[in-house]
Amino acid sequence: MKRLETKLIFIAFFLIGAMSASAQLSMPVYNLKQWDNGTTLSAAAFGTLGMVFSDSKDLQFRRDVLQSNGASKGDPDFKTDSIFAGQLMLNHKNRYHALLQVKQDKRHHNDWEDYIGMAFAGWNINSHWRLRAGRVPVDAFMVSEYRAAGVSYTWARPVTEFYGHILLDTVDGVELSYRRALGPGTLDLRSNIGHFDLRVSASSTEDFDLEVNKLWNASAHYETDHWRFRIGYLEGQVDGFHRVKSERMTSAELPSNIQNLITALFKYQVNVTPADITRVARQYDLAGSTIKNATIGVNFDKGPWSIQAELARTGFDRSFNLHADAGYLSIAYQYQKFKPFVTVSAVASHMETVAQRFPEMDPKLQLALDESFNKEVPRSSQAAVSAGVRWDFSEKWVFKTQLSHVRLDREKSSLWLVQSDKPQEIDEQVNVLSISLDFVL
Amino acid sequence: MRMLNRLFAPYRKLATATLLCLLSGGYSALSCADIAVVVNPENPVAAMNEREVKDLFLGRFLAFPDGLAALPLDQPVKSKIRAQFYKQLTGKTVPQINAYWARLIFSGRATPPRTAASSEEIRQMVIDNRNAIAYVDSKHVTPDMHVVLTLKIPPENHTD
Repeated sequence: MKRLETKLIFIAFFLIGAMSASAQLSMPVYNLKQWDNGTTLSAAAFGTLGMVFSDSKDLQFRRDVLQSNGASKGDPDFKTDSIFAGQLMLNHKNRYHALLQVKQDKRHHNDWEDYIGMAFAGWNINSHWRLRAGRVPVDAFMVSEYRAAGVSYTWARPVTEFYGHILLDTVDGVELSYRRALGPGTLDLRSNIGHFDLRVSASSTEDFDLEVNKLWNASAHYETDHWRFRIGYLEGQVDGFHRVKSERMTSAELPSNIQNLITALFKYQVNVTPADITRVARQYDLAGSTIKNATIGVNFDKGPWSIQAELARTGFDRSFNLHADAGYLSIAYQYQKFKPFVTVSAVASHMETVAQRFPEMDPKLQLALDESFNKEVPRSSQAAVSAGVRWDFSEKWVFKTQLSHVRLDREKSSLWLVQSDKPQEIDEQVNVLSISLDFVL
Repeated sequence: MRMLNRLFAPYRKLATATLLCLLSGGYSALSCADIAVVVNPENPVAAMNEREVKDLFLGRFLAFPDGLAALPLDQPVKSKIRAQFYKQLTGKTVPQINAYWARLIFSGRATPPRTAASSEEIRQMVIDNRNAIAYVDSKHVTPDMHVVLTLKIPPENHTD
């Protein structure tokens, strides 16, 4: 019933949007009010209506790890890519500005605060320096600041292998940026300080609350007529990583980490002391660790051709040095209103073994713990080839379709939600078809 | 017949464009002339280069080179002069420009130039506002506008 209601709401938005599109075509910003002192209040809205089909029964496809269910064979999902957002913008003589963006998407919404995409006040100190404070977007990756706005990129969604395990798009804090002309282009330096918290779905039954404080990032962009280069670094202190009781978990069920550990200890018949467990658990616990992320990206846009590539390494200084390397290359060609594209992408996670970290430990215990952690620690290793087309059939409406063929490592499938009782037998190849309608109102 | 087709093929586009210019009124006439970038006569900026104009119309900078806040104005959405202006200035088509602006608007980095309802409204806003900067058909420049840049539109950038 709830699913039906949601569909009806989205269909209503669709119809309203279709009517407005046919009635008035313009840039997606509406001036609501203008005062004599040079202050303007304007509004804008964007959204996506998407449907995702997958040919795997065992694995539910999701846009990112913040979604707690997704599309599987025979059960296409309407919410995976569907988003609706509206924003109000206040501007005083291009000197002071403020923005409030409210967003509805398929993520955990624990309270009203989670519906706020962005909310900040800004000050253009001079033509070079700008300061913004509040819930500000984080320039962590090339698409991270506008990853919800489908109209602004070619794909059906930001590349899953690259953006699917990235949790961060805004922080509560401040941003200082500096911009100047340099040679044939423009140099843009940005830095954020702040914190964020959110709920991650680690599996089909378990959620975690993640809290990251003392987060800072710095990035540099250099943009010419046809090229855009970006390099960035981000670091934050993980102050909280708590398992939360999920509605999808039965009361009789033990948390999976305990289940996995008990199973492994029985299997290898090892005696373990609380001291051993504590020592290893401290290493394993993400709370108290530092998350680090380094990225580099390039975009070439000349005539009909667009090429974009990014590489990133994201990791923790604890948790057995858990880290992931990800990258993609996307090529698109604009032919009139159509933009076909091809993307290749991959992510590979790495983690030290217990034997590497604790070489003096009983080998049987090392094996038992490794087996337990291998099941428990969310990791992803997969590669994909995607092809699709973007069709700008009107000023405000964009149709997209995309087919992705994904090959994955069964033991590192955390971008998906595993539905099978036998995870060792899940599919290693999945095809995902996406159809979406992006719009601005 | 095939011979004739081959002979006249290079001229067909030009001939079609010229014919459309002659047959249709209003905006199509605009698509055949150069584009003048204009400001209010009280604006101290004497001249601008393509890059400076591009920086303002793409939201990269919010002020004129001398620091005066800028108010960029766009021609009506469906006008041909708008498509020609961006094609000539940035090499991008209207869908590409729209995607560019969507990135800036929805990350809160900038708002696009204000869109006027007509060329006449553009003229009036330039006359009334010291901060305004706009583009008009060079044939429609009046003494109450100051031209800071003229964009020559080559035939291949005509959008007909």
